[in-house]
Amino acid sequence: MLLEAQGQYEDALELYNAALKQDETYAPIIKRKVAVLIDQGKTHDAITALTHYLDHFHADLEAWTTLSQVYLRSQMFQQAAFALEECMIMGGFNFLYHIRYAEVNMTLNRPAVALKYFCSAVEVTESGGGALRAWYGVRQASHALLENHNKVSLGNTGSNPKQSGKKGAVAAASHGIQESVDNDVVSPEEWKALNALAGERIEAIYKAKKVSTENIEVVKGWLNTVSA
Amino acid sequence: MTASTITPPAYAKLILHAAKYPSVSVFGVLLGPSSGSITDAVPVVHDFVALSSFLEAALEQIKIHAARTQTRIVGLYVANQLLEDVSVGPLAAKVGLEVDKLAGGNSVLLVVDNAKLLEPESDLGLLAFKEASGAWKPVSNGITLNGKVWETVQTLKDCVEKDKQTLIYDFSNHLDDPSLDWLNNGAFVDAFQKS
Repeated sequence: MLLEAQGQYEDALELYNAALKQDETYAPIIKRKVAVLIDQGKTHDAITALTHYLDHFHADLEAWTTLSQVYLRSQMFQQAAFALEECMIMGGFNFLYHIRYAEVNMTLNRPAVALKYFCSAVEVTESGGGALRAWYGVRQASHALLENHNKVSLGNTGSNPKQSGKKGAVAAASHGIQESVDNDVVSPEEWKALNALAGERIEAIYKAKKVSTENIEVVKGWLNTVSA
Repeated sequence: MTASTITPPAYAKLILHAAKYPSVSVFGVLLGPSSGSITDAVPVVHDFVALSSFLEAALEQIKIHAARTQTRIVGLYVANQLLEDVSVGPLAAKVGLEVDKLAGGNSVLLVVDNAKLLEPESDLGLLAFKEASGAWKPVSNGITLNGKVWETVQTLKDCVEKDKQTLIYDFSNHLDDPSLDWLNNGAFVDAFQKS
């Protein structure tokens, strides 16, 4: 680790590899190796080493979290989402995983999934301050769903609005988890209600924290751009 | 391509935002009266990753804030995670194009030269880029300080010694605690000007 701190990565790696020859399952050294590869910018190798480690030591929350970060920084969103799912299985009490998962799904253009997890983040958060990030997301995801819904139903006159809402969500989303969302019965009315609720909660949090009027005006202006 | 100028308080904010988070990348937006003139920096995030909803909220609020304070978006700054990485990464390039649109074109992208951060004191430690045909091209001598470089860098070194960089708040900090003034960072500016 001293060599790592001095930036002598190749020497550090030699030491770690030598140690691993003696015991190839010594987890702390495997993890140091991954850290060195990340610091060297060898993202591909780091991912290979980390996924190999996780094949054997599946229940390592820290490793799954690191993997999700490496994937996210490499713009590998699908893989980041998968790693975050593992994180939520093991650490579902931590609202940050829910929020990150939801945010990745927004980037993947899956607002329906994102909305679910922003909502579950609210449920899991204890203090109102922590939930601000989640309420922001509820506001944005519900707005995105309503936008897509309006686009689709404009070309779908006469059909059941509940159905076209779901079609809108499907049309806007890519494959994968979205299929399980199709069986949801969340409707545009509920999206509007969540959107409004998020706005109320956000304004309440800002008032409670005695934020400056100037800042509150900026937030109100932003809320208008993502309204129902 | 003409050079951009930056005022000491704006320079201080972006450098100390990078200094506050030495192990990850940072990103922020630059404001000023007109393109090429940077008078303020708004820190957005540390660990700059492509989370579209977060970034959209930040950019929209900065846009509103700029309009309310009679200033304009004139560019952006990034510091990469790895020490020797002074490139414009794919995310910085993409977000940069969005910021360029908000700026109405002619914006500047500043990359912090991590290895030159506050050392030597004669160097601003910034690389400037400008947009051309959808890509970011380096501009040599593209950024100058609207003030005395050596004195400013000395003051910043002093600030870091006294942990003043902890007074810089970005949008991510703000979402954890909304009382943190990420748009103005008034507390830091006061501390900087008193040094």
